[in-house]
Amino acid sequence: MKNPSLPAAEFPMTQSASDALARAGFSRRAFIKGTGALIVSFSMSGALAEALEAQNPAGPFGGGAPPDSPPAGEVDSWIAIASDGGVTAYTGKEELGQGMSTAQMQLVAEELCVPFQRVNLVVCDTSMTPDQGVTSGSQSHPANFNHNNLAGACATAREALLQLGSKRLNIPADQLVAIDGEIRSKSDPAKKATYADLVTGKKFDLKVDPAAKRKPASKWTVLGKPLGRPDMAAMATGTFEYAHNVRVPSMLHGMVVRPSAVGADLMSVDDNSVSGMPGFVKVVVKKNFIGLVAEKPWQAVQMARALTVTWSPAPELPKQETFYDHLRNQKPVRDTLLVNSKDVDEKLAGAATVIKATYYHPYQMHGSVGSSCAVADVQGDKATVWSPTQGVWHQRATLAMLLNLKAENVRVIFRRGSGCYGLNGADTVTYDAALLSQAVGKPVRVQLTRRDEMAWENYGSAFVMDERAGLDAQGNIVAWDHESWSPVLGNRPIYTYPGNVITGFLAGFQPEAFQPRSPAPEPTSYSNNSNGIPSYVVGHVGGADHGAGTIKSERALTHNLISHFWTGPLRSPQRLQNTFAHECFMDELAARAKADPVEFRLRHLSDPRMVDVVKATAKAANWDTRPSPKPRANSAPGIARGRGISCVAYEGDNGFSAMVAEIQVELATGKLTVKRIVVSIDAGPISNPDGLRNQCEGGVLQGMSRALGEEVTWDDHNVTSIDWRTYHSLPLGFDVPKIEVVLLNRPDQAATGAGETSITVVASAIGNAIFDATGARIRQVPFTPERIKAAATDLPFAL
Amino acid sequence: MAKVWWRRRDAGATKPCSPQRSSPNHIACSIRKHSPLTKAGLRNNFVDMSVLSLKVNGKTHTLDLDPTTPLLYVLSDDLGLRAPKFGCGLGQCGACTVLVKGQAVRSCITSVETVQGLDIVTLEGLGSVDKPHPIQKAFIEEQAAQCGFCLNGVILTAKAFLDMHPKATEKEIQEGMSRVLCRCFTHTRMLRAIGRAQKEMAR
Repeated sequence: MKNPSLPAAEFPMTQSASDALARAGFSRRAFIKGTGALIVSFSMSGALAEALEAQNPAGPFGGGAPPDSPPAGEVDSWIAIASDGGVTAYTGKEELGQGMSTAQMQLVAEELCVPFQRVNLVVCDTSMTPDQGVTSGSQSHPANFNHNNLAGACATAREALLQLGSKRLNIPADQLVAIDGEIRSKSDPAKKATYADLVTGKKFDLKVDPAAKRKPASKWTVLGKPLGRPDMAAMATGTFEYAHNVRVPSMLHGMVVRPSAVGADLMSVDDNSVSGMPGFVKVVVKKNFIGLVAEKPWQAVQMARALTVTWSPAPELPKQETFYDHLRNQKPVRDTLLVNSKDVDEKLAGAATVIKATYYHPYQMHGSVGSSCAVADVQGDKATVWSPTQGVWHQRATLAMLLNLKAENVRVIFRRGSGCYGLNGADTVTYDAALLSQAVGKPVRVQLTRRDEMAWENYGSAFVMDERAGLDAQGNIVAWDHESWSPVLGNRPIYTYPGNVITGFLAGFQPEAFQPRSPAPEPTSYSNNSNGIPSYVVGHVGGADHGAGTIKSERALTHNLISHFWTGPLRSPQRLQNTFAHECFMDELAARAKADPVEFRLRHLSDPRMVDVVKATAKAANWDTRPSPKPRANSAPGIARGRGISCVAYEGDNGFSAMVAEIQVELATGKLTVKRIVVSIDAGPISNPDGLRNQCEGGVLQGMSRALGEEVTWDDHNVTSIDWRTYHSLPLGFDVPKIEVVLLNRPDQAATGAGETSITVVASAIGNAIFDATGARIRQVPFTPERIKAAATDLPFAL
Repeated sequence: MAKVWWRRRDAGATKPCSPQRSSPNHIACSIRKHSPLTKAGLRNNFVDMSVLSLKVNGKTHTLDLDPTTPLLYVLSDDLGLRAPKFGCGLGQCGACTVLVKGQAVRSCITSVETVQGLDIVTLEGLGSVDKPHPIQKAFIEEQAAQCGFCLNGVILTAKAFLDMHPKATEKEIQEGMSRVLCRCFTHTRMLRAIGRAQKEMAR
């Protein structure tokens, strides 16, 4: 069995490195010594850490980055060169299944001029890797592929190696070249020195220099190429180690028992109901947290089913049928103005036509195919956990609070879990395992049941969105007003809120407090992180235009309110919901103006990258230029066919995408079939075209599943979408549309996000295509056959 | 046989079904109905631990365990195999799939006693990194995964289906995969990989 205390490398490392790490246990310093690699040791002494903690009684980190993470400004925090010439890179951005490890290895190989195979990547381990916050929000590509962090460290190191080579070979640096892990003379390749020769006995001891020259994309030989993922073979042969596969000597198995209803409090637990069962170790109770530990996993499952627990009655949940009205009327609220030109009402009053529409998006869940799992080993005042968390440093800080340990005594090692798409059960199950392990003083593995995974997670939030706009006599938009209502509770735990996820709350910690605020203050700085601002307005804040569009009269106002369910980021959080409303509404405006939806969009866009993705998509789709809906005479009886377009400037400037969907609707049943999807993406310079394509394809189909079927449901007391029969994910066997991906490479631009861009436009592209086909506008996700049939039947010309 | 204070073996329960008789593609050997998990039942009954013989990836293992334990737990916990994974525990997603006499069986709802002595193959037993089975090779070549957690069920379900229907059309393959979930939605590549494997396996 593999010793899980080996480092958190995603891919096999060189034998020398691996042996050295095994010898060294947890110590990166020892690893470096053993291999002859050069690295700064970043561990802070216990006394200093204590002193810092004493200065900051509010919390060990006071909400900021912990003081003892490898400093991001130091080259040695990011890379080490071993005596065998291997390069080990340390990253705070994880592989969540999106190919990010492969792309980062390509980056290191490219910038450091070493073969791809010689790069070893250590991913997210608080004993070794820098704190880069969470791996989320399409931030890995921008964070590590521009001029700071990993890319900057590699470029700085290459320049330093050239300088070291110059000294060693006594040749001016400009006459040297870095190739294949060596510094060579351009004129006489026999004059050379290997990196290992150059750095032995020294560390880089350099600040990351953001001005260090990056290799231009035109010279790339590794980055930008469609390299296959090195982890693919292990995954396809079943040998890859997921968090679920971590096994530690003496490990026990835990299960949790969640409350009987949302908001119920624990009254009593009868240990005797299970204490006689074989393998019983312990029942653990901490406020409303209940777990138990057994010797074997199946024993634990049966004990969890058999444990006698009584809970207090819980208040009724709001009725799902009237939930959207409930959202609109609930108090207290927290109001935020994203843009406000203060002339919207006036401009609308003077408009030739004013159009209003309301859109609805349900709570949806991450629904990882494998329920969340973690292993924790808490003994005495020290803890080690193997967790699929998106933020190891956040886990470390909040686990320390949960377990009442010092943060520097907690080590969090990332292990890949089942695809998470955001804040799934990874953090909460890590707390589960840690609480149980602490109670029994032995390592404990916990994997949630399907029901607990689905009923008790931080859902992607529900949204009600009002759109209002005015057209002038020529059919141009003169003003746009957006207002949304969205419930929130909890979130990522960050450094100080274990109560932001379920287990922390059950164990007695409060989620981050809701801070009511109404009315909203005027915006002073621009952020379109949520895509609450439509792409077609100028986004004027602080004296400058920041938006992607031309409409000067603009207002975007959001209302947050307290959710009954935990909420948190789900792939393209808020951006997807807001874009669904904006892009469907844009289509409604185009239809009212009797304009072609592509032409109408281009007429109101100013950002050249947005214009390019829209044009590229329309061209690749062979777009049928005409207003929507499609004249009915052209359709076969009983079947309506149509096409729709949608586009987004993700988070305003973090990637650009446009999509054309071609669909057909069986009018008698409302059955929707998506026949073809054309999607374009501009994510800056393309780091791995095959990986980017894979992300786009996956985003399209996941977006379809969310648009067509996914919805969290509940009754008076409990979530009722608790398995794959009650939560509707499109299976592998559904009628998969033809997908064509158009990649727009922008080597001259900064790297942007790519993982959440294509999914953001799916619901609106399909909704617009349904309108084109049937004349019916579906303003509520999911687009069930019943909803489509009802909307299409209401039309005067239906059937 | 060790006598332990626990649930009684359900002597009158359904006969263990033979995977051979189940539907060609998706399994479902179900599986002895567990005795009702009443609290009194748990406290007051005794159960026989059984010495069972399991033949996994060509190797025979003798194990002393509760015979109603789902096969998945035995494979991943007692035998330390990584490929079969707990996804739902309800036979709905496919992550736990193994081949039993060549049939795709959902090991999370298959009690271990119903498969003793039968040939069980897990994804690790199909091929290795150095010597992958043609269907594994096809998935590697098509880069047909994102997180890869579901790959076990996808590949083994496809393998069993192709063995049974070597000449299946694209549409039939799609239908054959209709009870497997991939939440990263790598569908396009996976279906392409299965098509590639079909051609390769026909040679």
